[in-house]
Amino acid sequence: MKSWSREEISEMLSLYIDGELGEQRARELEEHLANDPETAKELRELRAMKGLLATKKRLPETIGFWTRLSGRLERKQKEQENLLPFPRKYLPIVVSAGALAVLVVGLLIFQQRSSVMQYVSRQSERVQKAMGENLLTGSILPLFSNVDRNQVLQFALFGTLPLDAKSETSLRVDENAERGYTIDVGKKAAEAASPITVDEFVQQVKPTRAQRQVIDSVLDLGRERIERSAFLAEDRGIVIDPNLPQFNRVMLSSITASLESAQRVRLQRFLEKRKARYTIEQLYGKAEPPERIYRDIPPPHRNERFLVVTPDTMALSRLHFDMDSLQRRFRREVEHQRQVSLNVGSFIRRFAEREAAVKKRFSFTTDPIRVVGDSDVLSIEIGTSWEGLQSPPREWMVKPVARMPRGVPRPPNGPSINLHFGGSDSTFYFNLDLDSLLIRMHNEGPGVGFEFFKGDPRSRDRGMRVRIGGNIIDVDSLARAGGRARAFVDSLMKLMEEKHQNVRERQKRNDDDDPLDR
Amino acid sequence: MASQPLAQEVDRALDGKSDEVLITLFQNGERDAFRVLVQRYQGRVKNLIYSIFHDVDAVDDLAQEVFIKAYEALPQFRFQSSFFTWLYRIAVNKSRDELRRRKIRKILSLQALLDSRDHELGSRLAIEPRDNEAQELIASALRLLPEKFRVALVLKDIEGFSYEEIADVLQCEVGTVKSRLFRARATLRNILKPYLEERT
Repeated sequence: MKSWSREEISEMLSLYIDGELGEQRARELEEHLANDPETAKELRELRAMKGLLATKKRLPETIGFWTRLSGRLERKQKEQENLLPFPRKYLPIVVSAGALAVLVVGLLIFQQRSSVMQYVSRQSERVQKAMGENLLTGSILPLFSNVDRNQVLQFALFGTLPLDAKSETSLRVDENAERGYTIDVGKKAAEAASPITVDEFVQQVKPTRAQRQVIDSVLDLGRERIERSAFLAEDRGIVIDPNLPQFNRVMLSSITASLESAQRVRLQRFLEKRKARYTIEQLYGKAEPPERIYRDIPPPHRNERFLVVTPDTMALSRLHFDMDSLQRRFRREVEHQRQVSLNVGSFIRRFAEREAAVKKRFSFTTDPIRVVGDSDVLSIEIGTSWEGLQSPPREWMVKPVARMPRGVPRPPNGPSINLHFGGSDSTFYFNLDLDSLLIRMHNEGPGVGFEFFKGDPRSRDRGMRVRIGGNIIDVDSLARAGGRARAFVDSLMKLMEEKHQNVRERQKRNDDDDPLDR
Repeated sequence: MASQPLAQEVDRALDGKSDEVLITLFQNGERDAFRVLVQRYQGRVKNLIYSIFHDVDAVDDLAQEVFIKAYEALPQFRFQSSFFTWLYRIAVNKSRDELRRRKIRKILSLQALLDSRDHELGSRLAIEPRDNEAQELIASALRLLPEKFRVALVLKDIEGFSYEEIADVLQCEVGTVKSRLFRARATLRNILKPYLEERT
C-alpha cells in the first residue's frame, strides 16, 4: 500500500469524486480506501457534501425579465447617442442659462461687449468638447492602476500617491481645519512622499493575525476606492472624486479603530517617527469589530459626481466609468505610468499657460472650490462648507497634525463674478475675475454687433435690453431682483468703469510711446 | 396588433438555432437574436448569481447588468470560447465586483479556518436540519467560503461544469481549478463537520 500525506489523500479524493483522478491513481486510492477507515469516512463526507450541493434549490423563473432588460438597453443606447455631459432634454435649460449668464456678465462690463460672450461660450464649448471627446468616447486613463497595499498605506499616512515609478510626480491630498481640503497633482506634490511598507508598519504596531487581516481588507478597499477616484482625459482634463482628500483619514481612522490601546500607542509612536500627517485622537479604547469597520468605509460609488477640470474651466458632473475595460486597456503598468506621467505633465503645462495668459481662477462663494496652478503643480481647493463633501463615516480616530505647506500660492482676491449653470447631471462653473477679463479684452480688442442697454430703474417691467446683430432680447430678471442685488450690480459696474478707464489710459500711454506711431 | 404574432414568429424561427448562429445573426443586425439568447440563459445566469450571493433581491438586477454587458460586448465576440462560458465569465466578474462593493470580506481566512481546528463555526451550524433546512445550511456554509473557492465550487458541484470549462470561465489553469476545488471542499467539510458526521 502506498503512503500518502493526509493532504495528498484529500487532494486525490477531491479529484476522485469528480472522476478526474486517472485510472491508475484511482485504483491505488481504492486499495488505500479498503484499508483506511479514516479516508473512507472522508470520502463518504465529501460525497454527501457534493450531493447536498447538487440538490441546491433553483430559483423559479421571473416574469418580465426581458421587458425590463430591453427597456434598460434602449435607455442606454439613447444615452450613448447623447454625447453631451447632461441629458439632451436639459439642453434648452443649459443654453438659456448660459445665455443669461452671458447677459449678466455683459451688463457688468457693458463697454467690453462681444469678447465676453466669446469668452464664456468658448469656455463652455471647450469643457463640453473635452468631456464629449474624451470622457464619453473612451480615451480616458485611470490616474492610478495597480496600486499596492504599501502605496495605499502611504496614502493613508501621508496623503501622497506616486504617479510614476520614480515618484517624480504624485497626487497629494491635504487637510487643513481652517480652509478645507487640497488636492495637488504634479511635481511639487512629490516632495513630501516617503516610502513605507506594510511589513514595517506591522513590525512596529504588532497587530494580531485577525487584526492584520482587517487592516489588509481596509487597505484593499482603499485601493479599490483610489483606483476609481482619479482619471485623465488625455491632456485635456483631469477628473477627480472630490471626496478623495477625506479618504486617507477615513482609512487611518479605520485602521486605528481595529487596534487595542497598547497597539494604538505603538501606532502613535510610529506616526510621530515617520512624521505622518495625522496623530491619533482616541489613544485609549477597545478595538471595534471588523464588521463595523468595513461598514463605515464608504464604498466607491457608481455614478458619483466628479470634478472635471480642463485648462479652461471646471464642471461637476455625474460620470460612470467602466473600470473593467479601462483597466484591461492599461494592464501594462509601465506603459500606464509613462502615459499618466506624460499626460499629467502636459495637462499642467497647458493649465499654467492659460493661467499666465489669463489671471484666472475658479472659486465659488456658495460652492467653495478653487483651482489654481503653476508650471509644476495643479491645485484643487475644496472648502469644508461645500455641500458636496460626504460627512465622515465615523467619529474621527485621528486628526491632522499641522498645516501643510501649499504647492501653489493663492492668487489675490479681486472683484469677480460666479456663473453657475447646468442640469441634474452636470453643473458648469465659471468664475470670471474682472481683472482677468479686462486683460483678455485688452489683448483681444472690442468686438462688434453686441450692445447692452441698462433698463430704466423706474420701470419695473424691464431690466435690460440686449441687441445681438438684428435680434433684440429683453431680460427682466434684474428688474425683479431685490435692492441688494441691484446695489451689488451697480457697484460692480462702477468698479468696472473705473478699471476700464485705467486700461484705456494705459493703452493710450503705450500708444503714445510707440515709436511706430510717430 | 400585427407586431405580436410577428414577434412570436421571429422567436419561433430563432428558437431552434444554435448559440453561434444567433450570435452571428446579432452581429449582423438581428437584434431579436439577443432576446432568444437571454431567454435561453437567464435562468442559469440567475442561479449562478444566486449561488454566489444567496440574496434573492440582488439576483435580478445583477443578471440584468450581466446581459447589458453581454449586449455591449457581443459585437466583438470572436468565438474563441463557447458563448455560455463567456457569459458565465461576465456573470462571475460582475458578482465579484458586487461582492467587493458590498465589502463582504472574510474575517476568517481559509488558512485561519484550517489552522484553528476550531469547531465553533461548525457547531454554530450544528442544527438538526430537516430537508428544507438543508438548503439554508448549505447556503450559510457557502457564504463562509472565500469568494474564489466559492465560485469554483458553485461552478463544479451546482452548475456541473467540467474542469476545463471552469478554467475557461475563471481564466486560469486547470491545475488552479483543481487546487481551488480541493481547498474549497476541505474548508466546507470543516464547516459542515457536525452535520456530515451525523449524515454519514
